Amino acid sequence: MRNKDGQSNISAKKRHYPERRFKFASGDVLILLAVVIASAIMLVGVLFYEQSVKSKTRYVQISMDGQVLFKRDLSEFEEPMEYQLTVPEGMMVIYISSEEVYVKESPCEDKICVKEGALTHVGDGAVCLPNRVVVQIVAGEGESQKGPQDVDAVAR
Amino acid sequence: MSILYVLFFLGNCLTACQKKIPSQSLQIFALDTFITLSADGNEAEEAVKAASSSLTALEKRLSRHIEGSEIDNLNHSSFGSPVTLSDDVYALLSKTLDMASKTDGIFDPTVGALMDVWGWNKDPDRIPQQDRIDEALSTLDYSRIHLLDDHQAYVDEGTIVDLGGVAKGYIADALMQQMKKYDVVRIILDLGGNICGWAKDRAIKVGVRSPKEESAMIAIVSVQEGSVITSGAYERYFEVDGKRYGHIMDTRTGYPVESDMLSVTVITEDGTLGDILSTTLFACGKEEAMELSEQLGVHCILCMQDGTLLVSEELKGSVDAQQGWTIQYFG
Repeated sequence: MRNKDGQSNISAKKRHYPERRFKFASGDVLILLAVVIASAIMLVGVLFYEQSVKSKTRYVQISMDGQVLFKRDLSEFEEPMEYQLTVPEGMMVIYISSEEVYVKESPCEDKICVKEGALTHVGDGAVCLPNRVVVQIVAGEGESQKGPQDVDAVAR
Repeated sequence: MSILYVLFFLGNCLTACQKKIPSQSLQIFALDTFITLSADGNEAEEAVKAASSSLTALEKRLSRHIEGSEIDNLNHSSFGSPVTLSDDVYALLSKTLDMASKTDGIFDPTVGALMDVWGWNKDPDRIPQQDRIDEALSTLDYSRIHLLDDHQAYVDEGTIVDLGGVAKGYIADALMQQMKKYDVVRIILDLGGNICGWAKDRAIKVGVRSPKEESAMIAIVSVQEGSVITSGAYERYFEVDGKRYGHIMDTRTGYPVESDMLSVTVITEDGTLGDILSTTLFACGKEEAMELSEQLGVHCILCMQDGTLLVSEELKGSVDAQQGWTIQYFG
């Protein structure tokens, strides 16, 4: 509903309250400032953390008998490759692409390393005990080596 | 003035966050498996080095495959010529025999001959003849181990003691105690998938591997300190005519266990007990496993084929089921 001047009745009926002016005390300003600064620092921290998690570099690392034989950034593998490794029992073939790594063929009896399937996250690994070969996805130097969801280790 | 305190506090927090804590990790092949020893802290390197030396020393005493080890000597002992064991090996054997008795022989350290017949140490692609299984079963009975006074012991003829079902848990406990004496803030020991962890001022998060899907987890367990140990037949097995034969042996039949569960995870502060019971509960089957875990006061996760996780009531709040898995508490 509007009156003849085109103003709403609500504004026309505006009630007059006694004027109360809010005044900042110097302590309030300091507390407010501290809260704003703290929030800004936390926000920057969270953004920094998210960025570091997202950008965690994934390396494929292949080692035999504790000796690292091959370590490369997965993002370098625009074209997938098959890494062939001569092991005590014969030849092992490891498939490497920018997305995943897996042991494709192994001369071992139990084939636990092949059954391990695709390794995609930091912390994933396939182990061939008879040939003492370890294929792992590891993070870069100085980055957290924890697996998905920040687990410290995986029981299996 | 108050704002200065706030800024000082936040500044300290940021400095602390940025301060790098030394971290050390060592990967080795031992105990017939792959082992990772990790620690964070000012003396992480020293702690890991000391643990590595102890691991080698303990393996030399406990492995039946190492000539001259205490267990190898025991396996060559007899009534007429008993062997003298060290304090801790004698204590471990006593505990093992106690658990064999409590589990009614489902866990039995005299399983060595049966493991050999099934070729779990090499050439696993075959099913042995029944007479060979029967012969191995005739040597399988924990009462064939005799502990005498003065730390002496002997076994009856043909019996082969194999501590494969308990050694990893026992060694993890020993290494953890040793490493905690150093200035460290976090220790994670991964002995072929048996996890033993501790961290100062926070809980450890341990994922439990899915028996159905590689690289997936069924749950994440938070523990203040202790071991998370899983047993199942999803990793070490072979198939003949479409039938899967796992490496956990049923000491009653002489054949690999056919469990109604996919895996069993035991969460305990006593790694030795955890190692024994993860295997035993898996071999028991669901009903008996729930009963025995309650009876022994051990907390566990029983992973069922239909996607249910039967979890001990006491673990409420510490187990987070992952996608596709549903928790049901018992006890």
